[in-house]
Parts: sequence; structure tokens; C-alpha cells
Amino acid sequence: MGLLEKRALKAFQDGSYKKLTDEINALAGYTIEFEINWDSIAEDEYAEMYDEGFTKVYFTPIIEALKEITADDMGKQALQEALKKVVIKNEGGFYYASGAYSFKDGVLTIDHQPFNNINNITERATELGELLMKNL
Amino acid sequence: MNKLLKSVPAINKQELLFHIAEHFPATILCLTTDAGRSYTGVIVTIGKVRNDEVFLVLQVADDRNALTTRFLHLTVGKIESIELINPADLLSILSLGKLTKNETYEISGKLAVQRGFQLFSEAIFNAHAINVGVPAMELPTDGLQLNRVLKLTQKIQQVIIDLLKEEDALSGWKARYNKIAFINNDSLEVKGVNDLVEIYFPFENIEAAEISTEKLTNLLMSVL
Repeated sequence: MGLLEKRALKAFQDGSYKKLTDEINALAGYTIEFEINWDSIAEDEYAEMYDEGFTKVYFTPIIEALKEITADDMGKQALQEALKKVVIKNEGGFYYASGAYSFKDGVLTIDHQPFNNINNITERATELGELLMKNL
Repeated sequence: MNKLLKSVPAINKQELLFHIAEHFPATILCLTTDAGRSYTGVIVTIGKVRNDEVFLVLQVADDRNALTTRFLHLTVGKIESIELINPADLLSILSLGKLTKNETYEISGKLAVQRGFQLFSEAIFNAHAINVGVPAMELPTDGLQLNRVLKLTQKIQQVIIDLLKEEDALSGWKARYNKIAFINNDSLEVKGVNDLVEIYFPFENIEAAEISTEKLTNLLMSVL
């Protein structure tokens, strides 16, 4: 990772990342632990796309899915009982929602390439929402 | 499926062909006549003539089962055998609609079922302005079982909505009950316990048959 990438990653971590996780925690009504493999998602030569890619690929779908689930107290309670942690990484080479999400033992894992199909937000939110609903 | 097929009663060719023509007209059949010739296609029409003989018209299909513009007029009495090719619901066809294949289940979570319970109560309230309560149930943990509970909840909801269209049923329910519970059991039973309606059914057995609308209606009526 070069200096350009380090700066872009730091800018995301200090700016959008905090806002996005705050929004997710506010929707959930409790603090969800995030474990992010920054090295795998911060690909070289894409520094200028970190903010848009990370936001749209990983975080906005979570926000959209949680809006549906936490629409009532029943959903908030079920989420709190089931979802403890979110892991975000780019290891399996997945660039479609169908292969990107898994849920086990309270851990939601998102394994998706950060700069492919960036604008397929609805598809990812739907896939994630369905997966979570099956596990809540 | 094979176990269920063993429970299908014996039927004759004529009954079978009338049933297929009415309910499963897209079923491709291979009919072999007593002269040994075979014809593949779908039934266009079937009917009795004055002398009680039954005729059918078959739209003939080609080798790939695509329908052609060839039609065959045939006496049912001349048909030696009937082969059903990839039937959509073999059980229903062979039982003349008395049996249907079991529901298939997907994975559901508890939240979906709990929301289904809430909707159950709201839908009945919206239909008849009666509070039957949100179903109480000890939910299973298995996703397929949860999906069966969810689907059965929707069926029970419809049965109750239909039942309460009758004024005496509605007033009877209103006067006696404001709670409802689903209880896992080997068979279908309904009990009225104080202000609670208890519905017993194999909610968690995904191999068990679906709930019978008619039987549930009758059992609910017996506690009103």
C-alpha cells in the first residue's frame, strides 16, 4: 500500500466510516462490533474510489437491510439477540451479492470485491436482508 | 412421494383422461392403442357421445414434445395404455385431485414467524373488527419448521377470515375468545379453553400433510 492509498484509507476511516457505523448502530439500537480487513479491501491504484466503493459495496446495503429489519421493536430485539459482529473482507473474489454474504454464530461476514458492481446496492441489500431474516 | 402414491385409489382410463383434460390440460400423454400404435400429445377435448362412447381429440406432439398442427380423434375404449410424460403433479392427477404433493419449505427465521403472527391478528381484525389475539406458540429453532409454521399461520388466518364471515360465528367468537395459541401435536384438534382457542397440529413436522381447510373449519365451528 503506497502513501496515496494510506492517506485515502485514513480519510475514509476518520470520516465516512465513523458516520456509517454510527448510522448502523443507531438503527440497530446497540453497538455492533466491526472487524475489517483493511489490507484486503484497500486495493492498490484505487485510492480515489475508496470512499465510494467501501460505502456503496459494504455499508449502504447494511443500512438498507437494517431499516427493514428494525422497523419494529420485534425486529430490533431479534437483531440484538442474533447479530454480534460484522466482518468485512475481500478474500474470496466475490463480486455478486449471491456469494458475498454469510452468517454463522452471530457473525455476519461480507466478502466482496470493493470496486466491482459498486452500484448494485439494492441487490446486495435484498440479499443481505433475506439472509439476516433467515437467521433472526 | 412413492409412499404417497401407494395411497392413491385405483381409477379407470376414462376418469383419468377426463381429470387430466379438466385440471391438467398441459400434461403431455403418450397414448397407445389396442392396435399397438402410440401417439404423443395433449388432450384438446374429451366427451361422451349418444351411445356412451367416449372420444377425445389429441393435439399431436413431435419427437421433442413440441405441439404440431396434427390432431388425432380417438375412441377412449381403443386406448390400451396411458403414459404421463413429466406430469406437473402426479399425485394430484392419479388421485383425481384428492391428494396433492406436500408443500416444500424454505428457511425462515423466528422474526419472520413472529411478524407473521402479528399480521395474522391484524388481518383478521381488518376483515372483521375482532381481536383474536396474536398467536402464542413455542417456536422451533429449525428454519424449515419455522417456514412451515409461517405458511400454516397464513392458511389458518384465511380459514378464520372465511369462517367469521358468518354472523353467528363472528358473534360466538367475540363473546368467548380473545386469545389464540398454536400447539405442536400429532393431529389436528381445536379446543376452547376459557378465553383461549387452542389449535393443535403437526406444526413442526415438515413431512406431515398440510392442514385441511374443511376439517379446521368444522373443528373451529365446534368450539363456537
